[in-house]
Amino acid sequence: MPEQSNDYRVVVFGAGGVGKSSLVLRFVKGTFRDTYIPTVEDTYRQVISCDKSVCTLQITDTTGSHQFPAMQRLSISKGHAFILVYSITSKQSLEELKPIYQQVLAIKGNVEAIPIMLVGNKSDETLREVETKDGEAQANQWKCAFMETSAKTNHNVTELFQELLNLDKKRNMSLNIDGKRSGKQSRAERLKGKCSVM
Amino acid sequence: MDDMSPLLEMKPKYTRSHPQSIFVFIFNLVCTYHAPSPPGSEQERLEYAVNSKRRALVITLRWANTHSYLLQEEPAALAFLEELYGSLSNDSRVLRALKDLVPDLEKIIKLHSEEAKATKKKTLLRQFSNGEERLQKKQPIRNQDDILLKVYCSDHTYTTIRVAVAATGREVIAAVADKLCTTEELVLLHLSSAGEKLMLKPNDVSVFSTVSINGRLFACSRGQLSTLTPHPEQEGPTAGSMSTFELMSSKDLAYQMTMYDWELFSCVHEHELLYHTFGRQSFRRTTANLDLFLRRFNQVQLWVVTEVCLCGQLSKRVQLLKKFIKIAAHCREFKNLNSFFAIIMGMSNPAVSRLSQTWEKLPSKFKKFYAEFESMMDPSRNHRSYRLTVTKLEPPIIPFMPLLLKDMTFTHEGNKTFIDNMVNFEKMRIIANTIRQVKHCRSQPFNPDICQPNKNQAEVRGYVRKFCVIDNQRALTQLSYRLEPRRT
Ligand SMILES: Nc1nc2c(ncn2[C@@H]2O[C@H](COP(=O)(O)OP(=O)(O)OP(=O)(O)O)[C@@H](O)[C@H]2O)c(=O)[nH]1
Ligand SMILES: [Mg+2]
Repeated sequence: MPEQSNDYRVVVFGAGGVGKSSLVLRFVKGTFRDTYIPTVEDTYRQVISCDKSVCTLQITDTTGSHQFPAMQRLSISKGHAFILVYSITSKQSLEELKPIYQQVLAIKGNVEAIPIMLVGNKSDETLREVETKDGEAQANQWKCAFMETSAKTNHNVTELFQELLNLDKKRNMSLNIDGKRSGKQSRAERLKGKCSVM
Repeated sequence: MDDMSPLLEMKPKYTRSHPQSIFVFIFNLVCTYHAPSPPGSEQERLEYAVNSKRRALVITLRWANTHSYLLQEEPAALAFLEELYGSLSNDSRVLRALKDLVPDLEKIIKLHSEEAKATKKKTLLRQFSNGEERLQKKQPIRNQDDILLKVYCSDHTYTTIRVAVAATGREVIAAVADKLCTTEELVLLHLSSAGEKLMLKPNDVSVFSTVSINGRLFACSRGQLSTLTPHPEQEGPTAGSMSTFELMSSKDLAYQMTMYDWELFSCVHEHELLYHTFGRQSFRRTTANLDLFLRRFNQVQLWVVTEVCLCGQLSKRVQLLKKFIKIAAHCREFKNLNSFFAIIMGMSNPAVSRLSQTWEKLPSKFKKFYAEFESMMDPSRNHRSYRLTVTKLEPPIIPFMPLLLKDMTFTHEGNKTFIDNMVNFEKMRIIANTIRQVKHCRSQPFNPDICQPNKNQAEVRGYVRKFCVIDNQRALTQLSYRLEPRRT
């Protein structure tokens, strides 16, 4: 069994319905579904390589509802890296990330050493409310990384996770284990993953 | 229970299944209420009418009070009460002797119809909530509430599902399978920290409520069963919390434990004792509030054992024993027999009682107290010692619940429910007696002023509501042998 201590814990936050679960499921299982089932809290595991050995990437998919503030605090304190998701079709969803970012800041103290990725999901949608440059501006202000994704079309999903791992300077992590495929990656993505190993 | 006896005796063969019995009960009350008077003088006929109506009303009121909030789950019961109220309002104009019962019935109807409306909105509960929710005052868990369940998979990931409190094993599995998008046949089981697997049956009701302290619900395919291992966090703490609670006064600790026990005890519906005894499967009703209260008993007991076994220093261990004896004494003073026994049973757990070096160093005054407390647990002559103690106490009392349940189970298992197709009312009366004891214990409200709170109350309150324990007896015994190896 994978050891707790060996886990690299990534937590996904964001308003309800922005596609947190869809991103995680696309990444872990390679699937996508159109139906919307609100999440309470689910975890997933994936084996990755870390400093030339293997470790487990543990992803916590959280709830977008505000019913459980205590859970949020606990996930932040346990998390190593964070994905903050909004939907490009909703300005409101970007607004809702602000208190979450503030909470990460409050609990973690210095956020600059902590990998955080701001993600504008549903990039396949045409009814855009948040421009790419607005997302970038927010990321600059927060001193975190930024990416637009689509869980539906599988755009930038694996990249999102690999980039996030790359942001951690204390460890050298890769989604690939000894060049073998991990998860459901296309060949192109696999190559990209390899390139990013420093 | 036995208040209904004269009515149920008339139609025993309908009482086998619960949903029907409520209709039989209502039908009988309606018949009694509207019973035509036998021929006689006007005076006699009036008297007869008043008597039978009063009888029906008094039983109805008692019945409604016993059911309390459960009435809201029976639309037929509420409809009946409203109809009865209509008849009574009319009759009381002529039969003035019924007037005094009008406000009582009105009060009950108002309370329940308002609450029934308010609780249409489901309450969402976390699985025997960890953390902050425990600090909120407890509300009874009801069948129509929803609960969030964490269900683990063989790779130790978990998924959180939302199901009704009374959900069956089958319903839980369906929800998990849906969440995991799997078509594989899953089994649901309870995995203890020691790795013991208990398969949960598809028909089991409210499966979450009997999860042990560090136990977890797991779902996996049959093929994965043999590879299941407990989640590391099920092992419990690796360090004791003595440094936290040695700074708190024993009286404050006992007080806050009592407050918590009282909350849990107050939430237990009398009917849960029946469901527990007769098997909640046949009622399709949860016993979650009772299970929570019983779970607390185990938790307190394990807290004592865990703290002692995680205390490496002999002198500190002696301090711990003294502290627990003091807390137990205060619990008894607060008439909290549940926690009192939990502490004493924790101290008599083999992992603690075998630590002879520690016990030797305990001052004789404390040894005497402990001996006296332990003698109260003496099971001989059907726990005579305990029963005598309780009868001397005035309510409010928090009873030693496991013993009451044992009494009911013995009565149930030792006596047939039906004799010649008639309800065995002797058995029902004995069971009702035990329930009456529970009623008696809480016939007076708990007085929170029995203790003058210190300024760290909030901290003490937070601490006693989340004891972290090791619930694996083998692990505890091992720790104990490491503290004081077997003498050779
Ligand atoms: N067009 C499009 N729809 C998406 C995308 N990602 C998710 N969706 C849809 O958006 C809805 C919500 O997705 P979820 O992944 O369940 O949202 P969530 O953020 O997990 O929501 P909560 O669990 O309630 O916090 C679903 O109907 C998805 O099919 C995407 O990239 N593009
Ligand atoms: Mg979700």
